[in-house]
Amino acid sequence: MSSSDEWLALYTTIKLAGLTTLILLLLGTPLAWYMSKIQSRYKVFLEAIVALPLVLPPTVLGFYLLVIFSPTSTPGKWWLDTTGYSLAFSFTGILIGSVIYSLPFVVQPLQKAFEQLGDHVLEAGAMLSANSMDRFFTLVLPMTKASFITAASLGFAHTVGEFGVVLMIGGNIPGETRVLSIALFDHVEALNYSTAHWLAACLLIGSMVLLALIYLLNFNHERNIKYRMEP
Amino acid sequence: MSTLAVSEAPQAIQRDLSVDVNLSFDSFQLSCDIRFDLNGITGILGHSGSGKTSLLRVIAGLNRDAAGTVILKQRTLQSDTQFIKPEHRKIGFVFQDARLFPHLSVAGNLEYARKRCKPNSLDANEIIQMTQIGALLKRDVVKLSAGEKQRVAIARALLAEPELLLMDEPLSNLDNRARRDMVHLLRLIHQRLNLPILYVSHNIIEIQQLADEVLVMENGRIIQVGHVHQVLNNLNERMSTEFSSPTSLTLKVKQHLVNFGLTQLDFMAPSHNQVKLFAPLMNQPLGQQLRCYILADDLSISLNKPEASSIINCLPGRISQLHRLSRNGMLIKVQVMEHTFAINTSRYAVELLRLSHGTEVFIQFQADAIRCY
Repeated sequence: MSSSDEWLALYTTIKLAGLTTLILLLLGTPLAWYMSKIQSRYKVFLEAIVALPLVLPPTVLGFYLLVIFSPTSTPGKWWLDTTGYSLAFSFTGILIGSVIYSLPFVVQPLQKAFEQLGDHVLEAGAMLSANSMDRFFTLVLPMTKASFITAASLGFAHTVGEFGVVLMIGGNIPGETRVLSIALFDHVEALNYSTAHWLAACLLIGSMVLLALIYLLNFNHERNIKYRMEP
Repeated sequence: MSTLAVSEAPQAIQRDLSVDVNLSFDSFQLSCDIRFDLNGITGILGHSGSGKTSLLRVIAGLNRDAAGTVILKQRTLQSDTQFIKPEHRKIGFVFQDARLFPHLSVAGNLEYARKRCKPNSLDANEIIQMTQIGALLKRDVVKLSAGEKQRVAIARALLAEPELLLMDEPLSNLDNRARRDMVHLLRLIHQRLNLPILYVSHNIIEIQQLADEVLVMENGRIIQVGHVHQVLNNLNERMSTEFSSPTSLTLKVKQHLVNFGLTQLDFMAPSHNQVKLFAPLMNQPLGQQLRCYILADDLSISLNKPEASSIINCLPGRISQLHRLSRNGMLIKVQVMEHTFAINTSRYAVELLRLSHGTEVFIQFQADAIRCY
């Protein structure tokens, strides 16, 4: 493999992780909000479904997605008829898989933040004539900013490290589904250890830096809260 | 005549605020049917869990589970078929815990209210000056004292220019000095802005100092309504005991006895002017009407008129009620003309003086027992 293939894999990885994070923030925020507000017993089932990717082997999720994406299944056939290409072994396919696989990493921190925020501040906003969208953007968002950054970073980092689901439903198509973790696996299989070392080190350092930034942010946020709460 | 009514008023009478709601949660049930004319500070008195806060939340629209109707100035806020959201009710709410927005400065909190109130008719500088928060504008709200937070919360609520302001025990977290200042501020707000206020508290002195009309709540129901003096001086036995109800009355400044450090006060009714009342010297103009209270512990009772006593206030009256407060304590209500005075005494004294309903007595109290503002 040439180094341009590795750059392409890096580009695919960042594109996948970036789009996954964006979609998860758009879908996960209302889902987390809903889950933070409902009192019904169905909340626990919803929480269990969202948390499922945390414990489910990626190959299991990948296998079922592969079955659903297949042109012989109704959703797969509908997609093929509508777009002209199959979801299996496509970038869109691995994007859908990544969104499902990284869902809890975005939804859970947001749900926790919304629950901690409570209704008090929102009620105060309502009594000052702020409608629900206004309250979300002017009160909830700024007051849970740190949790949004944490959720986005965790969603991004987890997608970068994804392997099993991508391998099952995406295969190894350069420029389409070949992400860094797949490229690394490829190099190890081909006994090309020097490139594998480079890729592994890049992923390791990248993940470390990202996690350190998240923890630094949380540390600063908590210290800031503690400082602000001192009499 | 009272501007409050519970159920007995015909439905046809239009009041500024009409609340007929039922709400059940856990083992609590709120059931209110009342109409207000919004022309002053209306106090809502009751012990914890009596439903005061729930009533305010229903009026504000913060409790959607309540069934019934809420009508504010002929605008239906809630009925069986409609529900106007809190943000569209034009009602302000000052919460017990201020609920300032921690990510905004004091000025940011005020601006938040100001921006969402169109058009602005109040002068923001006047509100800032009145609430004395000019020096705090750039401050971080989480670094403010409890009293400062409540001042900002009140200013913020006023800048939203509501038609009605609801206040839920806003002074409960304040020390005595901050509490006194806030009572003064709330009276000032009422005088300057002519804004009707529903003021919830379980502190009878606060209610006595602030409210013109009072309604008393117990177990989710309104059990008493009327003018502040009438209600506070005629609380039922249980409430009197619970609140250690003070005597509440309005007095008028007659003359200042500067050499003696005293001010002579008169009852409001001219027919009572033969009675002399003395309070500590105060900086009030002659003729000024003052809302006053006397704590039940500050009064004593005597069968004969003390001819030579250092206690300078002495009023003749007749015992109208005797309540047992505790194993050894008694609360005696004495009728002095149309005023009812509440006196704490011991069971021993009641036995010794053979006090009973209808006994003619004299009540005595020192000048500094009369607390005015």
